[in-house]
Amino acid sequence: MNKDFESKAYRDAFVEEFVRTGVAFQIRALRDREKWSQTRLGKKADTTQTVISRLESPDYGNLTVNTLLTLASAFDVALLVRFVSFSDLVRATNKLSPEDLAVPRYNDEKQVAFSVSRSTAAPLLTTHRSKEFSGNRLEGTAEIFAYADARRGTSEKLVALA
Amino acid sequence: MIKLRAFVLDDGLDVVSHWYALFDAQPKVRARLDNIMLHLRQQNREGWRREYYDTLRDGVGEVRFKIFDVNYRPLGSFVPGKEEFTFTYFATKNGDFNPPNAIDIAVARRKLIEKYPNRSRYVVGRWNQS
Repeated sequence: MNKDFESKAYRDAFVEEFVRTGVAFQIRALRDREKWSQTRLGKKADTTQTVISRLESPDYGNLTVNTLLTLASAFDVALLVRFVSFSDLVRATNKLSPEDLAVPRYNDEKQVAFSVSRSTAAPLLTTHRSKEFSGNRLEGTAEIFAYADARRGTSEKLVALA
Repeated sequence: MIKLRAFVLDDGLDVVSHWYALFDAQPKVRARLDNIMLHLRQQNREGWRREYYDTLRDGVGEVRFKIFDVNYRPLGSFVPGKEEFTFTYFATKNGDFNPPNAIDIAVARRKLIEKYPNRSRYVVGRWNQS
């Protein structure tokens, strides 16, 4: 952990900046993925281009949970707001690439989860002692997590939606 | 992943260490740059663009952030042919650069590094670089 974390003032500042900068970068990453202009995102979030521009700049952003919820809805992604340990925070600083930040939309997750073929998934599921599943779709949350777990590294974004 | 380097001053200190020492009493400023660089180094080159970065002239670009009405402009250059960025000079900006010749200094240092590669080194122990 960065030795600066020994300072309480720095820790507090880092947490605030991680949220501000992190949200700014993630909105841009999600918007880039959608190929939306700030104006278009503004319309989807029932706000203006100016507000989106400010949210994408850690210099100006006035973040509220309501704003984040509105943006999550516009991108059709989930929002997780919770307290974490500093160890977890530091681990999170290693997952800031555009691919990490541009999380999949609900429909994309669903499509990936249910398009897993039996031939691909069955051996993996077997190693996790998962039960049989029918047809071409995984049955239930446990199986999907098992499949995701078996392919960790390539399918971390596969989230159970069953 | 972009690797980050720093110009080494005549006294052996590098510009990043020097800047962080200057701002030892301003944790918010340090934390902002830390977070921007943690993000930027995990972007590809195309991700280095406004609002957080802008290209200036003669191979020099600026990282951009504002705290307490001060526009901070750490200047630097991408290393030709490598996924590396070298900080060469830390300026501020209020309309004009402070100091006014900040870009010229950054350009001169970029050229110096090209001629003498040991005038820069990797930033270690910061921005998750080991």
